[in-house]
Amino acid sequence: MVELQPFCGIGLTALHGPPDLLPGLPQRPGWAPVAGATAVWTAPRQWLCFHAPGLVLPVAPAQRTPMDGARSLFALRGPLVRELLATILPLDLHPRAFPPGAAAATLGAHLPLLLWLDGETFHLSCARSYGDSLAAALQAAGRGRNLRVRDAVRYSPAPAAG
Amino acid sequence: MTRLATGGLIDRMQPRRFTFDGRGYQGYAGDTLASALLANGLRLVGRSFKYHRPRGIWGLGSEEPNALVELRAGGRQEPNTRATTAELFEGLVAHSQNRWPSLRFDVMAVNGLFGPLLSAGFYYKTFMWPSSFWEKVYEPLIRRAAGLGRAATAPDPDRYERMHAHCDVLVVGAGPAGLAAALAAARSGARVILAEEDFALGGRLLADRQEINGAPALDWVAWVLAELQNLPEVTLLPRTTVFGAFDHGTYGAVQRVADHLPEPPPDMPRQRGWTIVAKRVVLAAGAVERPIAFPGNDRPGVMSAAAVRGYIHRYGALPGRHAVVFTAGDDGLRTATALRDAGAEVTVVDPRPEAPAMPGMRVVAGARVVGTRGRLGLSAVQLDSGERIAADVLAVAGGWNPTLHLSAHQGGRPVWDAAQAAFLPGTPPPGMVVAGAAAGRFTLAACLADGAAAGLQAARDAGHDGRPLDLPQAEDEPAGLRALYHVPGRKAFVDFQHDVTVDDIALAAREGFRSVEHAKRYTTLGMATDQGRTANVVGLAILAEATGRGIAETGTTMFRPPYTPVTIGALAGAQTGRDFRPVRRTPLHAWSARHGASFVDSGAWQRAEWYARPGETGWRDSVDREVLQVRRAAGFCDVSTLGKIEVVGPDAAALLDFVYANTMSTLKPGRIRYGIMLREDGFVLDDGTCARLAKDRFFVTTTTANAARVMQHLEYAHQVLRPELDVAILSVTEAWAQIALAGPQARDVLAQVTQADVSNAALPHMACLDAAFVGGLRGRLYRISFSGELAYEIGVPPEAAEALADRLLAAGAVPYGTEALGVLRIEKGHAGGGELNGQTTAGDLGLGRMLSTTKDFIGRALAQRPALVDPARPVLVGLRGAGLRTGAHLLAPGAAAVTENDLGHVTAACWSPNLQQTIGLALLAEGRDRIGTRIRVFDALRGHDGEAEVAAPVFIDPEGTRTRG
Repeated sequence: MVELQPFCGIGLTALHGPPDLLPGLPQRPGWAPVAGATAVWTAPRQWLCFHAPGLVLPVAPAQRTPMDGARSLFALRGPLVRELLATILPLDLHPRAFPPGAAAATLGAHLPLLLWLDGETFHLSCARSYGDSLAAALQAAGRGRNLRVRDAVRYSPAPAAG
Repeated sequence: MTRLATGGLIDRMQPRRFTFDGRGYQGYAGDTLASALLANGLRLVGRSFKYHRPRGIWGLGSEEPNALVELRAGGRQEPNTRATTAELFEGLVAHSQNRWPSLRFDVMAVNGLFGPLLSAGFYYKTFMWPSSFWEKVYEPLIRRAAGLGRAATAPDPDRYERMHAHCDVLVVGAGPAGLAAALAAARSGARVILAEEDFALGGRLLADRQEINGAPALDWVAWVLAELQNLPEVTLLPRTTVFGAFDHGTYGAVQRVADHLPEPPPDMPRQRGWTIVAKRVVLAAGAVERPIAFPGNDRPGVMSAAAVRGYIHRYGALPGRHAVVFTAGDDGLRTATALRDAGAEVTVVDPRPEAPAMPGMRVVAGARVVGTRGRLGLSAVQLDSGERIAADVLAVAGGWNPTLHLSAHQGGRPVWDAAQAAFLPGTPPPGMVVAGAAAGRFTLAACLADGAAAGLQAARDAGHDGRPLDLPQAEDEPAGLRALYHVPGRKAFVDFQHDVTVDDIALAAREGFRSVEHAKRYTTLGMATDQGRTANVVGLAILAEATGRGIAETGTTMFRPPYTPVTIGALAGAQTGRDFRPVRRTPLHAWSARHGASFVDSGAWQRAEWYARPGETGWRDSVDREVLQVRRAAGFCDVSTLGKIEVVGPDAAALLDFVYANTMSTLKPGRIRYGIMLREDGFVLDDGTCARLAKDRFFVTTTTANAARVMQHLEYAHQVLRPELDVAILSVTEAWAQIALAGPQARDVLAQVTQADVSNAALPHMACLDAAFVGGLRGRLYRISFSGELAYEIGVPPEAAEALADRLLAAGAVPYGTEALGVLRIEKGHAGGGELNGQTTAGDLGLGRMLSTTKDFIGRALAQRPALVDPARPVLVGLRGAGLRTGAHLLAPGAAAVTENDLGHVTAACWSPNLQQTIGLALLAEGRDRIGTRIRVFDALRGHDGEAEVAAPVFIDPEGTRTRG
């Protein structure tokens, strides 16, 4: 079984600045709860922060760019989640290779994707415009794996204890 | 019936009914179609490719060259299926192929009478004149006469799936070596994938009667599988063929998930294509027995000796009761024993004078088979002594060919081992080790030891330490062999599937095709669907003999993936039909659909092309209405697809000065400038606007088509050329729903939806500001115009797009689509995709004065090349005239329509409802000097030849007063 949770109302901020821009920002591919947001490392000195709409991260305006609504986001969990994701993702998702806290920018179902693992829940994000295609790809991947799709909810980041 | 009363691995409690050529038969679960056909006494199952000769079953697995059938029907019809790998299921429907009107009486068998004429190269020598006949006469006739099965014409109703996997050790083949390798690796804790193309694991242990640890070998197989199945890091993949070795430890495999079922259950894919990334690979794919070429060796009833043994042991099917075993080695003698034990009368024909006596059978030592008899199946075997032996099966053992294909997919060339009379793996791809029979170890004990050692080493190399396996006890059976490839005589077949004979190869050699690659192509040896798995070594030996060289010197042809045929479905997975590629939808997609829009693909984007209203009879009605609405009142267009990039940081202005041909650092916050970027070679890359939102933040727009390219260009300029600049570049295309509002009433409409002051003083042309909108929305306003009208672009967060569109509609504006957008821009003479085609300079587009002379920028130097500043270059002009179509060529009036006279082409054209005429844009040599003259418009593709008037490219409001109003 795999549970698919789509999100709506996704606050998003791109951070760009020095490594110590905010305490706790990951310095390599990975994610961390930072200042009420899920901060995903995307490039040296760049992070994408997923958060509740309206949150303003405590950095100078020149080091943040608001991008609310720019990405679609899905959470997936369940016993067959790695098998489902393996149908579209080329990454090694074995717990030894992709442990909780890991994140990656990758390509799946011909889409550029961001992926991170929070506990046993994978988060998969693509550009908002590709959201319908990613949803369709996940639906197709879920066939035969007892995919249960929940109603979309507003995004709320993981607590700092992560 | 030739089914033995007992024995075999079939489940006799589960009968399976099936039909072959419309006639019903019965087999059992665990049968293949081939074993079931044999068990029902059928030997004739197909016709050969070229001569339509009767053919039976040769082999036991995927190497089968003869028994190709059409399986299933309708959309699931699958041609060229090897009966030896098709698992029998209830209701299976199979047909023989490449015959008419029936398998037993095939009219095209007349081809066989012309065999001497249909030799290698026959087509090339015969069908030469007249050349025009080739495509229309010769090729269709040849294709009709020679061929395989028929592909389904109905859509495939099944679904397919892709799968990615990573492992420490991939073991290919689940015979004794593969099982030992998998077990040794798995016990170390390594992640192991064991892939086996058969539906049952065990390899030759399924087909032979051997002992391991003093018990039947299959007991050991069951014990190993039980342990492997209980190890969490082990994945067993039966029915899975690893078909290719690719770069960096990547392997392609196809899993036949539901091929053994009448229909896949609704949620089960028919097949699954795997991409497996393995740190180490153990290739334990076994070996395939090769034939001996002798006259009549293709007659139904002539079979691989190892296959005959397999049909007896695994399927309890006795291929014949009067058997001759023609063997050049000890392995064939095991088949003789199996036949004898199964109750057949057996004669062994062994070319070795020292051939041992065999109890319960006659052995003819020092003899050879030189021919066979029988019409549609074997009835007798002819020996070189002149003796004729009545027989209904002839088991041929010519030695073993290691299945080394994957070891050679990355360029490793096999090495000839004369002692074993076999090609052995050369240098395999990095990370691969070859074990067992695939490495030339043809006895059981050697295979087990080799596999165990290879598996352990592979695991260790992948970072998992383990203990050596306690080697299972087994014997090395006799494996003596005298190399024998062919016996002289006509109609001695080497490649059964392509009907290539010994004579064909000899002829190729005589005609100069001495290279193995040339001989292959000339004769088609090894080019059929079986890729010469049984044929190639025999063919090479004959070519070597014919050219006076050794086999090692002759070499092999190149091995390439796939190892066995792979369906397109398994490669495509779910990406078929409407899911062939992903699509991008704007935040207003659903809104537009609700308001009558139809959509056009623009790259991956789906854009609203027009919004049809009731009563409009065609797209032109909608587009004309939308254009006139914009010119006379106000309209709004979803332009969210335009690329949007924020360039942020203290050095943002410096970077933009470097990438734009014009200067951006002088732009004041709150102002916008039109800009162009050049490529390094001086041609225009893209155009767009650049808004300065703050001292250290710019908002750059690009065309829809070039959004990714410009982003890449900016990153390249920063990361490679100007890494010292402190700047961040962010694609914000998805963060903004962007709506263009245009028309003389645009300001009035805008004032109804925003609380911002939108007066000309507060928001003049080429200015921007943050704005609050009715309903609490926040966004940005940009006073820019693509249409030539008083116009704005409104940016709001995506989730606010529909609310904004509703308010604009309520305020009196109407939506317009990309077609109207195109008409408006042509009327205004703005460059678009047709003009920004990668071959135009700024000067060509009338933008030459934008090139800064006071700063450096990308493309500056090469833009000054003589060819790029040649005054005779085609430049942007307007055209007026009926029949204008994009792509039409321009010629001087009266000039002949030849390339030398070509003056340019039409880049865009439309009907202008404002001007009530067809207008266009064009790139025309010396175009500015031709304004006011007439030009010939020649469109050979669509049959138009007319004239147009050359005009300035701006048809509407050339002074720009509307824009600034």
